[in-house]
Amino acid sequence: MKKENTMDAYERGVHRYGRIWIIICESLFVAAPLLIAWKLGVTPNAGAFFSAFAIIAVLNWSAAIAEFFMYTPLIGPSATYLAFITGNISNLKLPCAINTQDVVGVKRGTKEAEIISTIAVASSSLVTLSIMSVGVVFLALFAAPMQAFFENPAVKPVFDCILPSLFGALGYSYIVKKPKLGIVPLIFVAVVFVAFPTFANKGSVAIMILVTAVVSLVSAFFISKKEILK
Amino acid sequence: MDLNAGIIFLIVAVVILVVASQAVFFLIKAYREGIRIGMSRETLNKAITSSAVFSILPSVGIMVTMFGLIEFLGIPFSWLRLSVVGSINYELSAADTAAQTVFGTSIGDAIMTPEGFVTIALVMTFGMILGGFLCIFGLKKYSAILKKPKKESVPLTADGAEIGGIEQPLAVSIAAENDTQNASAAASTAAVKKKKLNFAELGNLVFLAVFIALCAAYIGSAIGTAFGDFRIEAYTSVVPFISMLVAVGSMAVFMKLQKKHPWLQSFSLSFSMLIGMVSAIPISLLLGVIF
Repeated sequence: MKKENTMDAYERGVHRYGRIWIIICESLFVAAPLLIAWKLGVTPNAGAFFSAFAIIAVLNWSAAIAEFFMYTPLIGPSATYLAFITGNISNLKLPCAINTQDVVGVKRGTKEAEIISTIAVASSSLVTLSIMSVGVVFLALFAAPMQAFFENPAVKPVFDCILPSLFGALGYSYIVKKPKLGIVPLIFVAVVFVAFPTFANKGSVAIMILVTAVVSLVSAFFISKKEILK
Repeated sequence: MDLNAGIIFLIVAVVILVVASQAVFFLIKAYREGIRIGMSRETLNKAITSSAVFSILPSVGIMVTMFGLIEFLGIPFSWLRLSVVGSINYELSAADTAAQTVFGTSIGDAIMTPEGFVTIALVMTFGMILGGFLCIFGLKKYSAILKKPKKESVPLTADGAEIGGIEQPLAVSIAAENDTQNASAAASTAAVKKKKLNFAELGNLVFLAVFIALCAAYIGSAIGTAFGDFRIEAYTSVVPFISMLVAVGSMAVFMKLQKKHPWLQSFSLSFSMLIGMVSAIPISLLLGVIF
């Protein structure tokens, strides 16, 4: 039996249109800086490009590969096509999709869950795009007062606390469901981050997610061996 | 050079509009398919409102990170980078790495030239392009592989879902899908009984483990920021950690409350996050008084 035979019309459509959209969007992403270069009448510095790209690719391309394999099963293919174009997956799209699945009460792994994650990722992307656009308009009009407000020492800590608050609350709601699974990953991250505080820099958290995922999976298998192997 | 030139705004706006169209396209497609397979409009609309509400605060956070890039890359290009593909975790560090290679100084100290700008813009774009390629070339195959083991778990899922002792929304019920879709697969169940792995339970466990790891990494990052290099004079470093604890406490309260008031479920996470974030202001003030 060919693999494609197990897909229904909707799924085949998702893959066809998903690919078309990604080709269009990625071409535009590359075209934008090239077009700007052409408008400015400059050529990019090839040497600097390749050496900078090599550094970034080692980290981000390996992270992208791991994210692709880790996140697709959680949100399903159609949401994945969208999420890899609209970005902010681990810090927004993924928790949003999972939370929405729970809120409307669909069971993970079903077609209903895939539809709900797609709706969640799409709505979430539109909210982000709208807020960013409104922000940009305001910024273009009132750059100084806006920047002053967000960088006001009384207000600033609020924005440093978004991700800790989101993942603290989210992590709690999942860890209480199976507390045993939380022990090893939490001890691991606490030890690593306290020993190497530089990992807490924004760019390195992505790497730590992957390392922690491996640790967490290994510990989960040992804890739940009985349940998996019947 | 003028990083905020009208033409750059225009180019960026077109790209963002196309990305928004993709989101609308997938939204409509999923919504229609949901109706077709018999999901209620109420459920689908609830998914839209709930995820929109959920996304407001993190989106404001993403907008605020944009300020970090604007000084260096101008408004339109920062707008593009944080609207598509990238993430707040990635863009600042990518821009900084690129700047160090191009100018030999960190992002804050470099004086932008047109050539430098274009080079950095390209590095940031190509640094994040792989995810899309993986989707183009691998997603169809990968999702076909993901569907396979489900079939094999048919005879096991029934008790698999029970053993887990995991609450209802988490219980993996791939079986439900299989019942309708793969009734014919029953023929292959004889072979399946020899399998030792309980795929339903395994899938559920992998999900939980990966998701907990994701949360743990951010929790750990707050712990590291707070205690990795703690000094009394830099006491503000503990604020994110304490506000995280506040958010955890609020979530615990909300989860208790939502047993009696199920409608709260749509808001529990957003409200806990909001309470955690806003608590940063009194926490900072209080710490300022103590130290």
